[in-house]
Amino acid sequence: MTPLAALQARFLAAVIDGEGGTADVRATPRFSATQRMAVYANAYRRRLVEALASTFERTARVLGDDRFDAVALAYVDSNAPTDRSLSRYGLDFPDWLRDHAAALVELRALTPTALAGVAIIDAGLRRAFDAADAEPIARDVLLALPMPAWPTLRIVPVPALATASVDAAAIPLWRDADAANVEGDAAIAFWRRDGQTFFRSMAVAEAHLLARMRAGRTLAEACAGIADDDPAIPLDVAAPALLAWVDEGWLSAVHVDA
Amino acid sequence: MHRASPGFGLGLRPQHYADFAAARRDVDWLEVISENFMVDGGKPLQWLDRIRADYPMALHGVTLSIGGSDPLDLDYLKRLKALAARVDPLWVSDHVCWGAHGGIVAHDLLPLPYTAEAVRHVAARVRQVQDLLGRRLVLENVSSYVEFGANEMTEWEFLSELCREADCLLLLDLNNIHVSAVNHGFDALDFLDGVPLDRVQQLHLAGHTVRDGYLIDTHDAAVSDPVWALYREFVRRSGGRAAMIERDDHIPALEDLEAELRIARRISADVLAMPAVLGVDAPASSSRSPTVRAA
Repeated sequence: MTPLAALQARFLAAVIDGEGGTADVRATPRFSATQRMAVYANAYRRRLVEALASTFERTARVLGDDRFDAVALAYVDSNAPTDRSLSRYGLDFPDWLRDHAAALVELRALTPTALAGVAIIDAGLRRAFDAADAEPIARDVLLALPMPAWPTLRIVPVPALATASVDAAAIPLWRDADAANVEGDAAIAFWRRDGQTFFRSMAVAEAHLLARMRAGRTLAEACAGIADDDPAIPLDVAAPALLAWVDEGWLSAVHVDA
Repeated sequence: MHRASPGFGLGLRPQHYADFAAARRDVDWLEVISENFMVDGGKPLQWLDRIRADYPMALHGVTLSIGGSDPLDLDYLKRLKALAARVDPLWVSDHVCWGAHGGIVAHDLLPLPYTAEAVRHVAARVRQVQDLLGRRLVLENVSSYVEFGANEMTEWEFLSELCREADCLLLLDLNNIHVSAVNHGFDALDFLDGVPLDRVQQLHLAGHTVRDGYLIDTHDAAVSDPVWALYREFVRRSGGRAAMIERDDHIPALEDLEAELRIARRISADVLAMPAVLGVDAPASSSRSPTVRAA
C-alpha cells in the first residue's frame, strides 16, 4: 500500500468511526486536531442521515424526526455507503428497520413490519423516480388485437414498474390514514407516469397475474395456473386488470403470436 | 489556455427548474451536478433537456474521487461520458480531492496531502480521465479543515504542479480559498498569486457558516464580503473568468440569486474599467489590501 493509500485508509476509518485520525493531522492553538477531524466525521453522518430522510420521507413522518434521526444514525454507523449515488444510499434500510428499530426507539403503536412497509413504499417510489424511460402504450393498442390472439398475449412492462409485498397496515400509515384493524400482507405495484411516481395495492389474483406475465407467460398460461399453490385466474378478472395496467401506463408493449 | 468566458452563471437546482423553463432569466450559463443526471430516466433528465435548449451548461461532478487510491470507476466514467454527449457541456469539472477508499464512498470532498507522491498519483489519474472523456478536466480546490503532517508544499503549489503534470484546468472556488485561509491561517492572496491564472477556467462564488471560531463551507448563505473582495482581486489579476453563484442549501428564490449575480457582474465591470486592471501599473501594496464591499 502506498503512503497515500495508507493515509486515506486511516482517514476514512476515522471519519466512519467518529474518532481517531489525529496523528496525521497538524493542530493549531485555536483549532485542535480532534476538532478538525470532527468536522469530517460530523459531516459524514449528517449527510447520510439527510439522504435517508430525503428518500424515506414518509417513514420519517410516521416515526417523527427525533426517532427517525436516532434509527437513521444507527443505520449509518453500521452501513457505510458503497454506491456513488447518494440517492441510492439506504435502499436496504427497510429490512434493517424491521430488524433493529424496536430495539433503538419506542415504536408506540407501530409494529416493526408496518414501519418497514412504509419504508418499502418510500424506497419503491425512489427507485421508480429515475428508472429508465419508456413510452407506455395506449388502450387502443390492446383493443386492436384480434380476440383469437389474446390467449397468446405477452406483456413488456415499463422499466419503472416494480412490485413488493408489505404489511397491509403500511399503506394507510404511508397515507396518514387510520391503520387500525388492518391485517395481513398486501401486494403493491410502483410505477412512474409523466414524471410522477405512484403506488397502489393489488388484489391477490391481479398480483399473481402480473407476476406470471412479468415472468414471460402468455395470458392463457398466466390465467391457467400450474400447481395447486398457483391458482387459476378467471378471464373476467384478467381482462380488466390488463386494461387497468395499460391505462395506468405500466406496459410499453404487448406481443401476440402471429 | 482556458476557453473564453461564457459570462455569469448559476448552479441549476431543482427548486428553479420551472423558473428556467418558463422564461429567459438574467443568467448566461448554468452549472449542473453531473451525478444528479447520471440516471436511467425520469423527470430530472426531461428538465435537463428542456433547460439545456436555452442555456449553455457546464457539468460539475462530486464523486469522481480523482485523488483516491481505489481504481477509477470506469462505469461512472462511462455514464459521465454519456451525459457529456447528451449535454455538450462548456466543460466538465470535479474536485481536487478523494471521496472513496476500499469500496466505501464517503460522499464528501476529502482533502489530499500536498506531497510529490500525491501530485504524481492525481496527475496520472487526471490524464487517464481526460483520455477517456476526450476533453480536459477542470478541477476545483476544496475547502479543508485539516492540514496533514505529511504536507511537503502549499495547496497552491500542489495545484500548480498538478496543472503542469496533468495539463488540466482549474475551477477556483473563492469561498473555499477564504474558508481554508481562515481555518489554516494563510493569506488568501498568496493562494491567488500562487496558482497559474491562465489555467483558471471557472470561478465559484459562495457563502459559508462560522462555527466555533472556524469556517464551514456550507454553501448555504449569500456570498460574504471577504469573498467578494477576493473576487475583485482575482478579476484585477486575471481579467476575469466565467463566474457563478453556487448555493447548495437554503436555496432562495431565483430572483435573489440573480441579484447576487448582478453584484458579480458589477464588480467585474468596475474592476475591468479601472486603468490598473491586470496589475499593469497598480502599486503592489494596494493588491494586498482589498476593501471591496458587496453592495
